[in-house]
Amino acid sequence: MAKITLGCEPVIGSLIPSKKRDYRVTNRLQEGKRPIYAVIFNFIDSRYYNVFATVGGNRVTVYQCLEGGVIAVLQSYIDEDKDESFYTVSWACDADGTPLLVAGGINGIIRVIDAGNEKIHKSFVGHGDSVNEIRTQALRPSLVLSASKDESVRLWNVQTGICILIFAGAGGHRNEVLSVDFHPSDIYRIASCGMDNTVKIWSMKEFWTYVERSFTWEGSPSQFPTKYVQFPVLIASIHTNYVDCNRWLGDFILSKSVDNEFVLWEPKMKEQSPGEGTVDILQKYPVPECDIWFIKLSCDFHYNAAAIGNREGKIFVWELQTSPPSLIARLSHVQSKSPIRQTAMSFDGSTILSCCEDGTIWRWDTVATS
Amino acid sequence: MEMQSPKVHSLPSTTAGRSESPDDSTNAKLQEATSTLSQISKVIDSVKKKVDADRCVYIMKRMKENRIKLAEITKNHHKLSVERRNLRIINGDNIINLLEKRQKDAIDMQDGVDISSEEDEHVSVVLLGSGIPVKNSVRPINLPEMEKLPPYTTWVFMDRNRRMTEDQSVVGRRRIYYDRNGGEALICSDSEEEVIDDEEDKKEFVESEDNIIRMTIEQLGSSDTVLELLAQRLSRKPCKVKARYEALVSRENVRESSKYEDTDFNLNSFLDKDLEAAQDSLDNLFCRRCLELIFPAEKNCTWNIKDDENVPCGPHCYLKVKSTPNHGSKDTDFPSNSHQDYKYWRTIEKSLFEKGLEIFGRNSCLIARNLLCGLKTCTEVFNVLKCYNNNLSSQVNNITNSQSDSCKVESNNNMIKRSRLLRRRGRIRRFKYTWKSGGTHSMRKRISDKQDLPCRQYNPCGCQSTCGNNCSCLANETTCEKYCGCPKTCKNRFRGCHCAKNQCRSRQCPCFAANRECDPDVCRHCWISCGDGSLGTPSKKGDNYECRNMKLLLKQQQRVLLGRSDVSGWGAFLRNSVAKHEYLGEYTGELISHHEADKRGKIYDRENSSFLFNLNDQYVLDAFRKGDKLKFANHSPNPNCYAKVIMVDGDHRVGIFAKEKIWAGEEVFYDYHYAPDQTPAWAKKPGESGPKREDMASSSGRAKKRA
Repeated sequence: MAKITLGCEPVIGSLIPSKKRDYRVTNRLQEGKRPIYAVIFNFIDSRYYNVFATVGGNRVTVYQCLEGGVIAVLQSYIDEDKDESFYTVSWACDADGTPLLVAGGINGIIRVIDAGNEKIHKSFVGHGDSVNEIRTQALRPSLVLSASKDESVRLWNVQTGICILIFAGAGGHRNEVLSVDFHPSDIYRIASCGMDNTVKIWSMKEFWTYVERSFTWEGSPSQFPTKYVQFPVLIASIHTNYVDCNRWLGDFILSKSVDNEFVLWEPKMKEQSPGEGTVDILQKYPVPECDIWFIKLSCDFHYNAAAIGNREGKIFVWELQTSPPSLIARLSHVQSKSPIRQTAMSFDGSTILSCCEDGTIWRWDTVATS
Repeated sequence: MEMQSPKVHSLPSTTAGRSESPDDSTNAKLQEATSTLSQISKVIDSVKKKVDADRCVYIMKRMKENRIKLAEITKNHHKLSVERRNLRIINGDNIINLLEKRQKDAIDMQDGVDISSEEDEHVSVVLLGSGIPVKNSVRPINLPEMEKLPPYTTWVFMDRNRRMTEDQSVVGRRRIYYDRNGGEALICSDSEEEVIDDEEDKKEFVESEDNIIRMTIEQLGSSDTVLELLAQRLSRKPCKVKARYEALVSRENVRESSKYEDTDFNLNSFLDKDLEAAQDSLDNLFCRRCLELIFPAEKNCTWNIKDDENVPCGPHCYLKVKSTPNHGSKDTDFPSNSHQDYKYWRTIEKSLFEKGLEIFGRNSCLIARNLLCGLKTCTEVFNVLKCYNNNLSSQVNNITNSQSDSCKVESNNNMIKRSRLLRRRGRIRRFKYTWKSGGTHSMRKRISDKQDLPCRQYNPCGCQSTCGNNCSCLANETTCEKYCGCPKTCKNRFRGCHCAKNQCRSRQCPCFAANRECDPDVCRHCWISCGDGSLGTPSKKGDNYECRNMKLLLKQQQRVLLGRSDVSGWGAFLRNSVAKHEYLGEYTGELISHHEADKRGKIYDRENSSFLFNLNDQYVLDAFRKGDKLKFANHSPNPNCYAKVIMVDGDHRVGIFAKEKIWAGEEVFYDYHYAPDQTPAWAKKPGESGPKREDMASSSGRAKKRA
């Protein structure tokens, strides 16, 4: 953690649970032997709010949460390359509302799966190394961002299969990019972070015509004039180690390193001089035993709460938007001991899923408190 | 910050005395001192508490504002996600997709409704309770295998070498790399504290700190103990805290005295600086090669340009004043008056005026308009100009010229020295590189495998007359070039060639022999034709023979294609067939120092892919993130190409040339010429054993590409 100036200290949440809500384990699945790196609910289309996808090894699996803790397997996809190891998955959708799954991993090939027709839609070859995270633009769900080990972030149009922009170059990341996220309302703005310990905020305002062109492009996708965005609008040095997850919370950013906590901060851009600017660290959310990298947090649809797992298989559910932050619950189970790589909170936060290094998926549901 | 505020010192003295009452017994003094200390601490604590409370309120407010905004945003997201359900229906395509079907099936199954499945052998969905393995429970859908790309790091194309920008340096920075094989993170830094130290110096005071400083000093005064304790708390230097307080007070005074002036605050402080300070960054950017355009020797003539246009430059132009007869009588008074005026000019105005003289000569219109716009009118400048003795001015100018030149060179050197010093602090401590390569140098490509000295970087000298003992070029053992300050007759100059018939293609050409490209500015007969001749032809020199030794300069390169190598990873291929010794293209990259290259090389060596190329005694080329396609040309002990460092326009550049006839579509290889002791295993010739111990000790080379 970078040094904080006196009088600018963040508010730190207390680890005593408020017990506002409590969760119980209602189901446990053993998907396979390989680690599951990602789990995510479909927030893109209201029809599928209870559908979630996981990736682990060379598999992408689609499930549905039913009442009474029941989980149903709906679809399963296997990459014929046994050496593929998917790290990330995101839901997207076509212009006509067809649900799409976008997955990426060690091979660096982004797989766009048409879940409505149960077949591969497109494969994007372009990244020079593994893909660490894929995120979808909620306002335009055919736009996805991918963060890669090749030190770049790329913006893709899954509908037309075009790589529109590459965020890399002179001002780009200096090591693997681990996480990336779209600003929830400012469609031009994205944030990325990675192994160079920085969080970078980028603007694609000047390049937006290319984004629009990608929707109407009729030529071959490889002929598209892909542009490099070389300079971010802000480089934030908040952490002193790998930054493996960043998410926008309105105009603020949640980011986490390997310091047993995640932090909320406000980027303060200088409009005249892009690249410069300051950050104001507002709040800290402690997460004990969370000191290994590649652990990602998840939020419910309204960003009221965030759930994050730790190295020992426990989950911390934080109320995000209160000041000071309050811990809703600390979830633990005697058999959950494997590191939790990612969690997924359902639409209203009543269900939490966690996927673990040992290939298990856990379902937690709120207990009605009388 | 230097600010004028007479009030500052009187303010704290009243309160400062309170805590320092004189006493006779030393014991009591000591007690006094400790109680004073604790008292100060208490005050600071209470101030801090108040600041903290304000901070909490502020954060709460910001969180609330953000919450309200975010609620609107998610409401919109929700609306959109609900609308997407209807997209298909609107499109008139009302087929339920498979995902929806499966969803429905699952619900039906849970409700106990029998699902009529078309595929009999496989159920459409499976309900899972605890403990049921998911694998193979539903029929998986295969994703056909795709051929993946050879790995690469995203790079940007550069058509010429560029100096590394300061922010790209890895020296003194903490880097953490992940070792895939060991599954561990590797920390590489010279020293952690060093990095933090440097940051501390730059950090600006923020509002909360200002508040703490102001409130504490207002209560306790600014005695040394108070300042020290404050500084300790703020982890800054006491003198800086004091300076900051003074700045705060003076700013407040200014604000109180007049709101109007407050807006001018920044401008005023800027105007109080002298020109050199104001142009600080300009000096750093100074380049002898660019100065060529405003070289003093040539400038002399522009000084004599008369005010050829007798058109007034504005309402305050001296021409207007002159033309009015009333003022004509006063003309004689001007010098004395203006001399008085000049005394009251601000330092920056004076130096701007002097600079103006240098640039525009005695032309008040141009000086006023270009340099003193908004500060002085043309008439004012003219008056000063008049009293500015012609003799004196030329003398002064000559001095300032030569001074500014040497100054600039010096400041350049200073800058380099300074930054080196800064870094050296880090180097004293042991490298924290956690692997064994910590002690050795990195692999770099080189031009040849001979142990010859690398060529020397050329820096133009600023000599005004024939280069003597003080000449930087002579000292550095480089020849003088067209960018040097010395006259063309300088003995140390490279004279170019007089070739005609052999078209500078062999070692008979002095340029070619010296590994230089011909320069039309210097060589006597070197020229090339442009276009199809429809726009006229250049004056043909030397019996119509075009020069063939300017390929890098003119970018007369071959089309290079990037593709999957037949050997490993990526490779560079040729689009068209080329003859022996044909120029293929340039190997471009970032120009970095050897020190920097060693730091970067540690990581590259570990990844076993290095794009470092030894250029000369000062610079190494790094094509890792910036370069061109030729960076992907692979190594071969029996290559079809060779690399050559060539001097082009005073710069060293790397050209890749064909060693033999190469057919279209063939892959390009050249020998990386790694230094014998740094050759990676894959680049070793078969049968070649590792270096002997003595070799390792004696060789100064590092594993870089060499040509």
